[in-house]
Amino acid sequence: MERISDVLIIGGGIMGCSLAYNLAKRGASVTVLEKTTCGSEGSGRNSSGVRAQCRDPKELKLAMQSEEMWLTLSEELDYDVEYRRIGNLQLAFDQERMEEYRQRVSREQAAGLPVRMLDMDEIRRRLPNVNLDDGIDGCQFLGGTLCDSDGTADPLRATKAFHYAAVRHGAVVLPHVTVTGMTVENHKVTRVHTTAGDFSGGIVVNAAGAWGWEIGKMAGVDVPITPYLCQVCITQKLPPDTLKHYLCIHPYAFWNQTAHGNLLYTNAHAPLEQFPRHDVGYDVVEYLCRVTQKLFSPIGLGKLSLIRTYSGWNEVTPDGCAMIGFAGDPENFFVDAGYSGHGFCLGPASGVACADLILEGKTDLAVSELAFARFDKTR
Amino acid sequence: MNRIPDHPILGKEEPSSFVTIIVDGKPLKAREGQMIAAALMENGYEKFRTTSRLGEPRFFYCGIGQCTDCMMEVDGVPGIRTCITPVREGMTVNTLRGLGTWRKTDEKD
Repeated sequence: MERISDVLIIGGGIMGCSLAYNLAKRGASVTVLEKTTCGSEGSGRNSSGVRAQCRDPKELKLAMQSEEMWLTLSEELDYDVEYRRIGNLQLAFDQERMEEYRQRVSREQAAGLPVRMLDMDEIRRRLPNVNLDDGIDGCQFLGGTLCDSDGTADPLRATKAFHYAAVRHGAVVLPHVTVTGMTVENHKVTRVHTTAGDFSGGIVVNAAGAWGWEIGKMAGVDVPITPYLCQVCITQKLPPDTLKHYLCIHPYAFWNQTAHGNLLYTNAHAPLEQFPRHDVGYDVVEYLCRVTQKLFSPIGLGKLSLIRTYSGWNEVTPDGCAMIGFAGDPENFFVDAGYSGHGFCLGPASGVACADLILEGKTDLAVSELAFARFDKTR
Repeated sequence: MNRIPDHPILGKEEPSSFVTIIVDGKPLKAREGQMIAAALMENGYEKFRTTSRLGEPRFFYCGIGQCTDCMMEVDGVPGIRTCITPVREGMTVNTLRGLGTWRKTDEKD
């Protein structure tokens, strides 16, 4: 096994795999070290939403660029990622949120995003099977926003698509390899120690998602990532078009109907007030199911069977946005992590941007405001 | 499908009391405590549902509530596994076409 590569990527989620694919495609030798299997941590266990609206302004342009790439991704990777542009509907239940949405929508529209405000009449037409009369948690729904370029894809399939494409282009992807430490000499990471022996790379990439802080620590870099868990629930199949849009009710939960008809829902990326802890348990599942039962009461989903539930890793950074870029010291340590619960959409573009930065030192994609350097107090 | 009234291991069948269930609009005599699928099989039913993509007929398969081949619409709710659901007096059981239709039922959730 070749243990020295041009780029050594720690983390085989969608970021690690899409970067590996883009690098391998351009002739670099790449090795990916994945703690479990590609897509088992955060990337394969998210809400399956591909969303550009309702983001921090720093990420909007990149999200729009990435959404363009999603359109042809299945074809490019020769693997069906089940991408469907069904639009994302965000529901608001208080005036403060409505005002926030109005301001956000004008900013997003100015950037060219196909998003607009919706009144309750139109929301009712678009969500005929959803109970919009009882509101949520004692508050009435007042309106919302719809972004037509948003949609959904299968999280595990998308991660795997990048994984397999990377391997086809010559990347080496090693699952079940845990990084245990690093040797840093003369401001460079010279060796990465793992449960499968030592590896080294011209560039070492921290694409370890929720564990990005741990990998950073091994390199002597402070990577401000705080992990936490989200719970995903999947129901038996429902007739097509039961839920026509990817539906979000911040800060409660998100709902999607998969390409196969199952309802997939998860608690929102910010920990709920009722569950102020960094793990999940049956009470979160129960809470999510009750909210879902109530929301879909017009079609009697109380009898719907939950067939699967799993938790997935998520994380937050101090400003809720990803960190992309060289750490500075060690000079060959590159950070590509901290997507704070909304990285799925950015997967394709991030892979291209990071490959650009690593191979050419610059990129045309909009990642400059997400530079890791913004957290480095010494710069 | 024939019942075995005197089984080499389970012994002689106990006498049953009966309930009436409505299957595709027609009344059917079922034994109290019997699973819907067993009642249907005893009465010669061989098609419980049709698949959602190609409309092919399905019967029971695993018989232990795992494979979902035996799903039917029971009391208005689609997707009920009939091999593990016991009959009840007056229960309505309909052939499930594809994924069926979900609508609000009177029963409390």
